[in-house]
Amino acid sequence: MTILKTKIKEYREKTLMKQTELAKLVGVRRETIVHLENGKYNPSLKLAMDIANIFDTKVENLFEFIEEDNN
Amino acid sequence: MSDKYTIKSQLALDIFTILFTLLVAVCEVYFKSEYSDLVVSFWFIIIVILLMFQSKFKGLNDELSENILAKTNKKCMGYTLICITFIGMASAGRKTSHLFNSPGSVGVLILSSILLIAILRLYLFIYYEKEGIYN
Repeated sequence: MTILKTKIKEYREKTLMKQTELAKLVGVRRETIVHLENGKYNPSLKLAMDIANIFDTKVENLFEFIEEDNN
Repeated sequence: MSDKYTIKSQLALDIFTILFTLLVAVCEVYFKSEYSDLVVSFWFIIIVILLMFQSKFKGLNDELSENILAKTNKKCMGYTLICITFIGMASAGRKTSHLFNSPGSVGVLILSSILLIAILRLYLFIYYEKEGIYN
C-alpha cells in the first residue's frame, strides 16, 4: 500500500513561515496544514499546486508516494 | 467569512436547536396546559433566531472540512434511515403499535432519534478531524 508523504514542513521551516500564515495564503484552515504535514490528508490538486507555488517549487518536490512495508 | 467559528460550532448549534425543539414537543405532549399556544409561539421565535445565527456560525469551510463533513453526513444518513424505518415499523406493526398511545409520542421519539444522530454527527466530525480521513 502506498502512502503520501509531504515535505511541506521542511519548506515552511526553511522560509520561517508559520502554519497559520501558510493556511491564510492558500485559503484553508490551520488544521488542514497540520493534517497535510502529518500525512493525514491527501490534498486536492489545486491545493497542492497552490502550496507549491507559495514555495516556488514543483508539486513533485513537495509530495511523494512511498510504498509502505507491511512485513 | 469569519474563521472564528467553525463547522463544529454549527453542528453544536444544530444539537441545541433540536434539543430545544424536543423539550417543547415533550412539554406539548406530556404537560398539556392552557399556555400551549404561547409555548409554540415562543418556540417559533427562538427557532427563527437560531436559524439567523446559523449563517453567523458558518465559519471557514475549506476542502478538508467539506470532505470530513461529507463523510460524517454519509454515515449519519445511514443511521437516520435505519432509525426512521424502525420507528415507522414499530408504530405501524399490530403487536407494537400499542406502545405509541398518541401521535405526539411518535413525534417525540423521532425528535429524540434526530437529537442522538445530531450528537453522533458532531462526535464523528471531531473524530475524523483528529484522526484524518486518508492514509
